[in-house]
Amino acid sequence: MSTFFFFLPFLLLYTVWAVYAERKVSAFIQDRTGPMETGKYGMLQTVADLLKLLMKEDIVPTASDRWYFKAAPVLIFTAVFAGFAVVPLTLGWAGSGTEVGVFYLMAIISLDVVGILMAGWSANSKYTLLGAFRSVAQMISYEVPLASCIVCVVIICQSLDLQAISYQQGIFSTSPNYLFGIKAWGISTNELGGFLTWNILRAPVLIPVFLIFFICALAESNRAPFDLPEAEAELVGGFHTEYSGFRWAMVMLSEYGMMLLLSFLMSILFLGSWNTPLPNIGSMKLALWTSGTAGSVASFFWGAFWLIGKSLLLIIVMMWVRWTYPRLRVDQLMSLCWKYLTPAAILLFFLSALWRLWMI
Amino acid sequence: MSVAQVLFYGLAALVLLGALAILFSKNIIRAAFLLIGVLVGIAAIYALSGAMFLAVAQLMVYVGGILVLLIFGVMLTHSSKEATLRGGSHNIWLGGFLGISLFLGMVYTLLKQPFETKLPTENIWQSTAQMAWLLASDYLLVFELLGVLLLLALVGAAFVVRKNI
Repeated sequence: MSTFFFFLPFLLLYTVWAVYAERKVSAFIQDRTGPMETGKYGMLQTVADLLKLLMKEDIVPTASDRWYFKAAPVLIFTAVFAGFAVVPLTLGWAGSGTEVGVFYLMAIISLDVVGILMAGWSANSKYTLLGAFRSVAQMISYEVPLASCIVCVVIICQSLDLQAISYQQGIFSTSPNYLFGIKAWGISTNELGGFLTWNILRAPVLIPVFLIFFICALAESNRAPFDLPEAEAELVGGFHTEYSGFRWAMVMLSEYGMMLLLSFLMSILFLGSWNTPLPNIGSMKLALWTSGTAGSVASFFWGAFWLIGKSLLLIIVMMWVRWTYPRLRVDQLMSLCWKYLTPAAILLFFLSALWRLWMI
Repeated sequence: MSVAQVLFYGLAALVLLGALAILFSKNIIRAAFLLIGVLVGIAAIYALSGAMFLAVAQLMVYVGGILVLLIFGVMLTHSSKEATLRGGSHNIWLGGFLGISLFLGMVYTLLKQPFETKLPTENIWQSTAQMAWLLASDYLLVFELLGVLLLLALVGAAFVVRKNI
């Protein structure tokens, strides 16, 4: 229920601002000003675009498979939105709190794939079908290293529950944490907290895992440099070429929703979830000050602030990458996935298992 | 009726309707897409019974793996207009006889089965760790053999596809 009342409005608001941010970031990278006319600094541009989209006619191509064509965007958005059910937002709010949270999120990506195939096929056009094929082939391929990366974290944390993984990465942890995960040094970081207890520093073997995960997340959300499914010069608009008006808006909404979901997952698995990045230094109890006591209203707001902040920061990095790197070719895309990322992820999988056996 | 019962019957109805729609659908890709309803419904029934891991595995393997493979297979071999199944019925008597006898046999077995209505109330939401423990101890050999079987299937498929290795 909380997912419905918090994440649905949050997702809508976030998408409006993310589209605006995307346009501004791209403009600044290309030495332009971006939207400037609508509202101050063009801040109302996306709102205007959204209103325009809602007014547009909902066109269904004559040769398309009518019901499936109409249902596909709903299926895609439902799949992405269902993923938010297991995201723990703060100390006291674990979302659905299921013990198989991470595994469930992997299954969500599969449902998204079916929705994209349905959209591409039902429009009965060459561009959409090819776009859907590319999109799905890419998503399924990159799911392999992505899943291996998630397994690495699960090995280290010994839990599939996102809230349990979150608890381990901060001052509320009940298990001992050591500096860089090296027990021999004997420097306990339980009291320090902050970024020192994040998963990437708790077990530094996870730093390359995080990088691979980030690359796979870009590919999973079909963003540049992996935006072949929407290569404008070749495929017009990819699997959503034939959509217009509100249905197109829904497809875009789920695309940005997928980005947000993967950013949340990245923050939870690697960057300390809702834990503060500031450590306790001597009498400067920064971690305590910025976490609040467990169960209080302050802890609720701090947790949400840190998790959402980290996720939005990752999204800005995704945009930065998009406007910095050129698009890959199909063969480069596949060789990057199968020849480099997958073997690297499997190697890291073994290293994480060894780390768990010897270091913790 | 409790909420769980209402949910159960709703999901069961979804599964049954989906299965019937697949049965009477002439278009093979539509039938494949209708399979989502069946698979998701079954996964939801698992989740309702507290078997969370099984539910997600069902989604992962059937929707993420088999269904996508199925749709891909059909799409690569047919164009969307040609993908209709041939109509007409053959062997009505033999098929009807086999179908009805199988159904009756299944009903008979089900009725003979002494169903335990007692549910495990303790730790129903922590079944994943118990299941993992069993897989890594009592059923380890079966688990490993299945892994080897899957690997063999993978290598075999690659061997069949590649003409000259």
